Amino acid sequence: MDNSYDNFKYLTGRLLIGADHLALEPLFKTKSDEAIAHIFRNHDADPDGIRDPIEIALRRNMDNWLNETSLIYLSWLSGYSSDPEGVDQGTRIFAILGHASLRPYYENYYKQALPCLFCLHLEESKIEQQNSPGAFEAFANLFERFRNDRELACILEFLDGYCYGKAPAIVSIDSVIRAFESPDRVVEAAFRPASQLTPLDSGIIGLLHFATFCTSLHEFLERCKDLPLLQSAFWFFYAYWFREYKKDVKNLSIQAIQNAAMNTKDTGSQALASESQARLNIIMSALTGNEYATALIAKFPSTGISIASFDLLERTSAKSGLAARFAAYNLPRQN
Amino acid sequence: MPIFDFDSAPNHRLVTQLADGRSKMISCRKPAKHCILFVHGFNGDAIDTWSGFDTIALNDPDLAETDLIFFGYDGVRSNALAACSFLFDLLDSAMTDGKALQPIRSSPPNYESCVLAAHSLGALVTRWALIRANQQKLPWLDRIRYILFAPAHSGGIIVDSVAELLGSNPISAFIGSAAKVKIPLLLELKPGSPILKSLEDHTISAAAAGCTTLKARRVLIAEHEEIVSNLPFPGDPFPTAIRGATHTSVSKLNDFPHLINYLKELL
Repeated sequence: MDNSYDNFKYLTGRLLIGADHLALEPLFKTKSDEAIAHIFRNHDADPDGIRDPIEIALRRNMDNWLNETSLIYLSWLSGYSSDPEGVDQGTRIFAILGHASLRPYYENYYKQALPCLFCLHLEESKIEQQNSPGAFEAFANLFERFRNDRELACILEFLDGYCYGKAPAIVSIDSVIRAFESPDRVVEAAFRPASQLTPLDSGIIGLLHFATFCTSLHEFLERCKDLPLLQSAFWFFYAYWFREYKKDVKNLSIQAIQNAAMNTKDTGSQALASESQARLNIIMSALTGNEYATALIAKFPSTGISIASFDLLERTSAKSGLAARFAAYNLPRQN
Repeated sequence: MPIFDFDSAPNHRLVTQLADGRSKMISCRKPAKHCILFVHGFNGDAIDTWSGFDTIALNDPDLAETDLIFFGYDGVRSNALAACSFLFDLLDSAMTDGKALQPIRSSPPNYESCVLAAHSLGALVTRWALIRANQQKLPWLDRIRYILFAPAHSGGIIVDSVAELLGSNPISAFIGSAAKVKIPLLLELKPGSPILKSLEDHTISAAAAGCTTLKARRVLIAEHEEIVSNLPFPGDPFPTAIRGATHTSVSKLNDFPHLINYLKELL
């Protein structure tokens, strides 16, 4: 039985009646292009940063919305759901995704390939599908498992350069990694009552959750090795975490184990530390490297990214296409 | 691990988060006649505790008209009675107005039966919820079928395996072995603790008053149990042991495919 249209209706229905879409759709219908572009600006390029609570909430809505739309694109790519192009739901998604004032947000500032591909898809520039609806279902389960993990969100902020507090009591990713010098401190943080949790505790727990997430994602991607295009597309869903953060997630994760092993003297513990480090090195090398990136990049449409968004940006790279935008992913991460 | 050479679920839709932000639901395409409500244990995850029930179980035609709901709560930093309150709200709504399942189910599902499956600490959480339903004389209680996996209602949890509790990843594997600290956890689960004693008293009273739902239809225990006491709870049937299972694997369909039969026999 072909359930692809039913699946499409369910997934797009979930998006279009969801809180994120309901918050965003009126914005795109009523606000000026300049106002939308301002909300979805590059925080690094604004000396004042993003402080307005309404803006913060809308940007969070947008990040969730882009995740959901990326899932819809993956569901089509894997043959799980029918084609969103040319139907009403696709038109409503494109009204936001294809808006010239939004596109720099995911094309340049916080680079994400799947929204770019989805946008091109809705403009009738498509790539070939690789059918494996079961793989998509398993990916959706993985996504659901980690989507609302508060501690995971906390460590991701640390990895993107956020700090808590003021000097000399500032808590940063370096403080989190240093805390692993005491394995007892890590265990205490992991089981501390909610009312006593500090930002450092949340960062420590977050790093453990991040390691669990990376282990699960790596295991999942390895199960997809006979589906190279989908394997690559699934990796691209999370590529931002591995390739775009200010901190090197691979080196920091390995440093955490090295710190924990600093004071171990007996051979058994040292052997376990080496074994754990080797295992983590395999996982993080794969996730932060280029091996999962190449299959999808090779399929990027030759059509360039819409010129409109680059006009808005006045970028010299306006003529470069999607492949050029993600060309660095074909190489090991540069720090 | 097998590669993904199978098709997607023929009778169910994609896993979707419920409004409480922690629970997940896999709804069947047809109007549902039954639901299975899964409740994880200490440090468990709503879905991962039950791995396989979210994938391979969906190919079983006997579940074609069954919704799967995975209740989520903070098993580490919450307590059994707080979690019970959240579970009760979900269960009560699922069995009556269905509001907690919206927008996945836009109208009340009117389940003919609900299998309530609980693992480890989830046994306390669920039994307290059932006691509350019994005290409030809620009519849906008669439609509940209760099954337990390695229940912690007779005492536990022994936290010697810190690594297991920290999560499955290489960092936790080492930290768990290197840490010397003892975790002052789960005082409420010490054998003879007030909460366990009270639970036992309430269950015995309810049974004496004619409530049969609080009696588990089946109790599954792990052959290699090192976390909880396997002592039967008053009124429960003699347990069925799962050969080769540990405390954490006993609830995983991926590891023990025949577990599905124990749920299906209750639908």
